[in-house]
Amino acid sequence: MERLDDKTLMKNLATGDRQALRVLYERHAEFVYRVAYRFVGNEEDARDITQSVFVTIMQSAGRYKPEAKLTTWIYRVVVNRCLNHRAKAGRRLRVRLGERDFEAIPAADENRPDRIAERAERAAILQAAIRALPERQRMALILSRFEGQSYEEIASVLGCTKKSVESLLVRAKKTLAKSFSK
Amino acid sequence: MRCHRARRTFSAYLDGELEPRRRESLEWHLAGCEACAAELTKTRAQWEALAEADQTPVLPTDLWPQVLAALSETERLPWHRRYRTRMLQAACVSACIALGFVGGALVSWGQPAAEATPNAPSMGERLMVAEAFDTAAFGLNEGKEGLLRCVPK
Repeated sequence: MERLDDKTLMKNLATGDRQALRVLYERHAEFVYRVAYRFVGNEEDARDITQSVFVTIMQSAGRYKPEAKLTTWIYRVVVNRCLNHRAKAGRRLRVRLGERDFEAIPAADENRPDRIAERAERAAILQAAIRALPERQRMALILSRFEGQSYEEIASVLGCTKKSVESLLVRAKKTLAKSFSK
Repeated sequence: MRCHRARRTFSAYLDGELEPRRRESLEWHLAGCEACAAELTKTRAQWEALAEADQTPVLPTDLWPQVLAALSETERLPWHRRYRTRMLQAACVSACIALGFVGGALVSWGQPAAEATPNAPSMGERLMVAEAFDTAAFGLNEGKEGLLRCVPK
């Protein structure tokens, strides 16, 4: 079963084969969870989204068209789940970044305890700033910068053009820059 | 290429997503514009800092049983039955609320005011209460009816 390709697994899944779902979960759950976590920023919601994505995969396996790349199709499901997800707090965070939050830490100082603490703090601030972005900008940023997706793949997942993806990323960058305190 | 247009292409340039013609045009501009070249260096550093700050989330090991549980939950009824059940539940709740409103309105409109409030004070009692107020404040010229308007019912 582990050797079967994604398309064959999806065919098996359409007949209700849960073992096929298990194999697909092992192959793809990592990125599903990663995108969800980066988008919502907490484990509980990321778990809920991941779980509902795999339930959807199981239920929609019969409608999957093998011409589409499975990972793109799954990305699309994840993105829809994330965009429809309303964080329980329901509020958008407002974060103000300082110029220093974007400065690279000198490699020579990397292991100093104060530098480690500083890096962790800065990471938390930047992540909060990303979560404060409008949803589509945030998703484009996550898929591009952290998942290494091409603009074409992102466009296919978000249902827009390559130009729009470029524009979303420019705006995301601008929005992050606006958060600079000075 | 002008500076503001050049700067809009920085992200795509750094991601290697610019078409050859636009990339050449940008590089030509950067060669002659120090301000844009400095801005590009800054943008590159910012994107790198973002990547550095990223802490890759790790998939929880106990998530698979949760997926199975959710699946069993949704498989109890086929989707069209679940949909129908939810629609019926929503319709029942809406109907009860609507009935409550209509019933309440009918009860309050169908009864005369005196019957609806059998323990309401009589006219005499209300006048006595009115006189207990500072008459100057309410104006004697308005008479008892004027006072009555000011008495809280």
